Amino acid sequence: MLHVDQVTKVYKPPPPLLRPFVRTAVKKSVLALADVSFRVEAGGIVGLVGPNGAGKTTLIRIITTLLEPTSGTVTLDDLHVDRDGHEFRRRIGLVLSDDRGLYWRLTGRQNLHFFGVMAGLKRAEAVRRTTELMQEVGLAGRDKLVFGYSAGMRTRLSLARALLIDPPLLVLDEPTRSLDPVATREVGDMLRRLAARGHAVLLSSHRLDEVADVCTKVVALVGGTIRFEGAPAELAADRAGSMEALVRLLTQDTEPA
Amino acid sequence: MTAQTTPRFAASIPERIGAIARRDITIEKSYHFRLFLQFFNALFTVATFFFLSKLVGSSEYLQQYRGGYFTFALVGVLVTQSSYLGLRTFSSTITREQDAGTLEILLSTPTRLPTLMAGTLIIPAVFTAVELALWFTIAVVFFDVRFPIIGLLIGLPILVLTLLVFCSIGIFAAAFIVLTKKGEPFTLVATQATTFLAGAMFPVALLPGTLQVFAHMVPAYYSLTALRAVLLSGHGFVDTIDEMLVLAAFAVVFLPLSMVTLRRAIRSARVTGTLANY
Repeated sequence: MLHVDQVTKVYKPPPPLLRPFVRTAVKKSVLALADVSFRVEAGGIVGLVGPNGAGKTTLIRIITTLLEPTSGTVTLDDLHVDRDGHEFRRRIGLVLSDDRGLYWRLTGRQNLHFFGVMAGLKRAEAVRRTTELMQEVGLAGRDKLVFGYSAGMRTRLSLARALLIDPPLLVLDEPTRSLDPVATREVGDMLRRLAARGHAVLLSSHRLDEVADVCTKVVALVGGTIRFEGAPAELAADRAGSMEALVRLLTQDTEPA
Repeated sequence: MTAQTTPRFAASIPERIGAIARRDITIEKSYHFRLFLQFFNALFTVATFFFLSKLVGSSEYLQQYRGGYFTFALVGVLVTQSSYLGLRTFSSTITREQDAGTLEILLSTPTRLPTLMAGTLIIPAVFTAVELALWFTIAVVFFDVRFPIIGLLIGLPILVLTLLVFCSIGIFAAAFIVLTKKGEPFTLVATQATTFLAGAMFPVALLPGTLQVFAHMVPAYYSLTALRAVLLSGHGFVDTIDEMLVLAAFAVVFLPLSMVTLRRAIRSARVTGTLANY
């Protein structure tokens, strides 16, 4: 399924000639990811954890073709992220954090119709999948303009959008960041159902309890490098307690005795 | 149901373009008052040109054009509005999608960039066409202006070529917006060149000799010359072939070049990680 192999990303400032026109967050080269490698298998839910600035979103963007790695490769089955970008996108569903990525002046159904066709479904098929998914994510009968949705409803709609083409790989970037515990648990239940159907899921989060509860494997990133990869039980939330404690723990683990 | 390993993808390019157009018209319809205001804007602008033409009177520079300054300026408006459409649609769409966070989602779908660009143009083009039709209808109904039907028919391909050229410049502008997020020079330069140098609002013959040379480098000059010839001077299709060929040459050079530039800009934003920034 998904194979991330020795991916490194260095953010560089724009060339001097372009600097007056192009503003980026970096003034000098910044190493965001260093030799990151891991796999996500079909039916598995891999949790990508780490504090802010650990490189989670950078990695998610590379996997979803929105950012090019400086070196390393990402493959999905036999497809290469750079070489086969177009085909690659046909196999990925993406959920971004917060409320971004939806048209707020369209209804939930209208959003799904539109993104269904953009994802490649014929119009009739997009309508059928919309009805199915609105039901599945609990939004059937609650169709209205998206700006009238709660944060939880928007997250569920984003999840439905990502599932329109029934992609083998589902990538979620902190989908529960602004959700309450009940809505977070609902998203977790949904992800488990999807994995049971054979979807591979990559879930980025900085909530250790969520990852321990939902994921079958955890990849912990700190400062752009993988500090832990294994079963959630080995990285139990009660050992670390908080993201700060986790960072301390993982940093200590890598220091010589 | 299990996750597909080989997804079925069948939506054709026209279907995708249609979906973008439906999205845009649905969003536009949610702003009811805008369409209503558009009519009043057209009415008062046409009236302004009508009374301005009374002031200008029958200048020797306008003798070759039937209808005097009023119709001369109306054709100028026709070209400037078409140029705004081509110049602004793509960059404003990219800005809007960046603001909404939908640009990344769209670029993570398997819909190709030219399809996205073409779809984006449909509804603004329809709105501009309706607006221009409104301007001309107001001119005919309220101000007794007459245009030859054959001239209007010949004018259509000239307008299409004009739109293609300005769309190309608009795509250059969009490429700049992808990198800089706000502020691009193409729209300003092309707009000023059209209104000032190309003679949208006054005859090029009024400009000093040196500037008249520059006028010939502006695509809108050829659009205006050809449209005024067929709409105001009674010329036929054959008389405008030269201008149409020049416009076609601009389009043939600019269109592929602008698409390559936009692709490179998006690629660059993919490398620097600034695709979603706004």
